[in-house]
Amino acid sequence: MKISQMKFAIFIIVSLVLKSCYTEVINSFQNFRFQIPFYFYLNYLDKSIPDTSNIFVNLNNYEEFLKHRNELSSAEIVQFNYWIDSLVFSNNVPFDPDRNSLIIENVRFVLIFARPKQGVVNPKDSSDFEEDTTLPRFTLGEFYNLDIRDFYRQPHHIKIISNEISQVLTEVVRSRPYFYLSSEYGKVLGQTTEKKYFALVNVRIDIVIRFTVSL
Amino acid sequence: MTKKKPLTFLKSYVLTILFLFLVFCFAYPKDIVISRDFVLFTSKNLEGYIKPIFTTLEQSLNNSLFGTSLPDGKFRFTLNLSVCGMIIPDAHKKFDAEVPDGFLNDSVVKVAQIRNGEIHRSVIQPNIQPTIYGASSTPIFSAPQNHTYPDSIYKTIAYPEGLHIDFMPGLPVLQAIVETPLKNEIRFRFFSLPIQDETFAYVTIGLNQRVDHFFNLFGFDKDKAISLHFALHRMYFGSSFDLTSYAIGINAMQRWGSSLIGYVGLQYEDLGGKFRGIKDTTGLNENIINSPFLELRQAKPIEVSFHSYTKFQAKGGFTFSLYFGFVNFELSYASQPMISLGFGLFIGKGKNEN
Repeated sequence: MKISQMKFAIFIIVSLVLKSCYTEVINSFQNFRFQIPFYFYLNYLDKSIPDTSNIFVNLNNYEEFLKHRNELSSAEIVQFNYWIDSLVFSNNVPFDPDRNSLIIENVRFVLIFARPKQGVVNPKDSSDFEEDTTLPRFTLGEFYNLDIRDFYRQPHHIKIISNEISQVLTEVVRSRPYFYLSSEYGKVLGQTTEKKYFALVNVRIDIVIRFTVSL
Repeated sequence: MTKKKPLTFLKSYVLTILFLFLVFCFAYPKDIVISRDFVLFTSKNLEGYIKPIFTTLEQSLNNSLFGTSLPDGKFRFTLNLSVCGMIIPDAHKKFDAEVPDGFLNDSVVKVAQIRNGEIHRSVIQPNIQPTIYGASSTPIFSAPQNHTYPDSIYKTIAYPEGLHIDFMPGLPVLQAIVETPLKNEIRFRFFSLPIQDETFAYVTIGLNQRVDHFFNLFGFDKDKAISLHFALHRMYFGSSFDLTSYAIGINAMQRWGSSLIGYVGLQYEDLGGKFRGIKDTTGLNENIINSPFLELRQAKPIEVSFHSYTKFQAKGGFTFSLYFGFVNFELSYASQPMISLGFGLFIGKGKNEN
């Protein structure tokens, strides 16, 4: 049995045309998207407010990020959440949401991108980094008249993050996956002294980041 | 001379079929070892996430099992290439995902999530998350009420996302079709590809047997036919992946002139298979996996059964014969509505030339 050259040519041409139909789908399957929560535990002793404090985040310390770092094509912050895990007054009495009332006038969380200090070749810890002033600061969440009772071990204060922040993160994260989470606390409602002290404050911030990796 | 050739072919086919059945019988899957860092999916969530893609796979495997020719007892060998595409319904873009057991107990954790811009302060049942064809997933935030183990393990969770697919091309079918003097067509597909140290293999055997002449249903009308069709598919990759699918159905055909065939058919089909991977548990006691899912925490094996949404397909189409082969167009109503286009190339002489 012989296949004529023309029949063979028709078969090859049809096969090639059909192959192109699959290219788009194969391309979409090369990208895999998933969300990963990152947990930040901010534990303060003898915390006074009003106050601003920064925590340094190096995504290279997170296994899930490291696993996919080389294939990473984008990273977007999707949602942000903040709650108080524990609070102890300056007289060592723990905050009881059923009995105590405490309202903070305003609390703001800001994302500040970081870069290694000039001359530091192998940055290791937060002291090797500084704020990247070439990039704007982004407000992740802002709360007014924050009633601690409503934030005490309650995760329903979810903030959806704007595309603007997400796009900057995508551009930055592959080369410089470092940033500061800055927490700015205002006064307690009715506070008459310059500072109000707390013996202990444990704060939780959960940030969900969407990663797209090219397989 | 003309009789001997088809019989030689039939003989080789019978031998091939016997060989393939032996392959079916003796290829058993074995466990593979997966890193316990693989924590994106529990078994149940992986099963739900990939179920619609196995529906697509099943439908494309069971495509082009009949309709390319009216079996009239004349010998012919044809090479056939068919492609198909499925419209993905919304129902196949989401599934009910598993949540950690502690999330359902209000005294263990308080949970919250945003759906459609609204904040919910409990786990919504069903917990709708995207399949591989779906869109964005919804994280569930969790605040443990007790900061000691095991309550503290129930932390915020997030899920993998979909690829936003509305139309999905199926697996292309490249098959050999042999029409025999027994008024049937035998279909054969085989594909093998070595990947790293393992071999991916796919094999199909199909039979489309005309039956109307047994009952003399159409008398002297030779342009009508009723046939029963059956196909068995097997796909495996080394010893870790094993999939079997089959279809059985009935089809009716009408030929107009010598070139045009119209047909309709109904078929029942199913797909089954399993994937099992054992997690590497070396040093598990020292290096605890920090996941709210018990299965991931205990590094239990991933056991996924393959299922499909599609059990029935109703098909209708046309085949137009040319001097070198045929063109075939088909529409199928199934859980993923399907459109199919096929091309055939007659090897040797076509029926009309005979």
